[in-house]
Amino acid sequence: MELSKWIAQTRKGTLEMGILVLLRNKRRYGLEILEILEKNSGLMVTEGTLYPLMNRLKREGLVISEWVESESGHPRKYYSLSKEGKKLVEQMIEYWSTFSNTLSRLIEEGR
Amino acid sequence: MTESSPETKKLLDDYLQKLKDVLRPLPEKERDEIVLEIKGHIQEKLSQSSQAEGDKEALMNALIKLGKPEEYGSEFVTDYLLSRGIERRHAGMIFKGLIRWGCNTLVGFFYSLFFFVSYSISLSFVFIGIMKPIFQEQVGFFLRDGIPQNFGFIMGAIDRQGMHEVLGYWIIPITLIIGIVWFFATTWLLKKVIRNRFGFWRKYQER
Repeated sequence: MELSKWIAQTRKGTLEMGILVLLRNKRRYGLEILEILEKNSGLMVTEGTLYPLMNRLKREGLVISEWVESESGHPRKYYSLSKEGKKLVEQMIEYWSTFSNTLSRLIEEGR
Repeated sequence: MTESSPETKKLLDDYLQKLKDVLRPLPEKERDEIVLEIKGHIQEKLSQSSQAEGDKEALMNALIKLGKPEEYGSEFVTDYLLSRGIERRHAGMIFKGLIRWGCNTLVGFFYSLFFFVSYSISLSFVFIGIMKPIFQEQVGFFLRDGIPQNFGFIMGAIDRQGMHEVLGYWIIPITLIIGIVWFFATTWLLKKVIRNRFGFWRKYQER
């Protein structure tokens, strides 16, 4: 297996979770999400990927959006979790902790 | 940098118009909202840019990072056509969505090809059943010495020596049932694939 391919797959699978987790307690707008993801994660997302993805999450009913007038003068489209999205994100986090614990144990086992 | 030169304004307007054109298949409300969001994104990027960076340069950088409207804009449209098409059982929308998907990604291409072939097969069965009463001699299940030779049409100058037809008019219900079951099986598979594309796809919700 090629490392770069494996990394790409892992990223793709976790990008949605990364976004939903960011919206867990706070509404955020597109550029804000993008900057956070760019700054402190290896999730690597571009504008051209993020906006269609946000649209898809909304279509799936996981996030909702609202327009808010900002001090910078132009309205921003803020995203937050829907009821369904909130439920899913908690399940994802729970799964992720179990999953990463298992993997860490396996790494120890293999030492 | 809220004040911009006519040149940068035109550049921005052209870009947004291009995006709007790409998003034409979407309902107006959805289209306008996407364009407004992208416009807001660009303006925010411009207001973040340093003074040293020229107006035009900052805009160009923002647009390059966003990419071509044709590329990411098409994603919005494919999502719309497939999810809405499945929900409304609208064959035309699904068809258009599949073509788009097929044009955009390799995975989409193979899925689309598969579904077009599968739907064609199901329709061919139905077609055979419908044609039997019209071409009674040419349509059927033909054997030669107990070995299947042809199912469906026998046309033209094929050597029919020693062939005989075994199903008679039974071929009509048989092909119709196979065709219809095949059709629904393909549709069931298509729904599964599209749901898969949408990750945790639930139900289209208009908000």
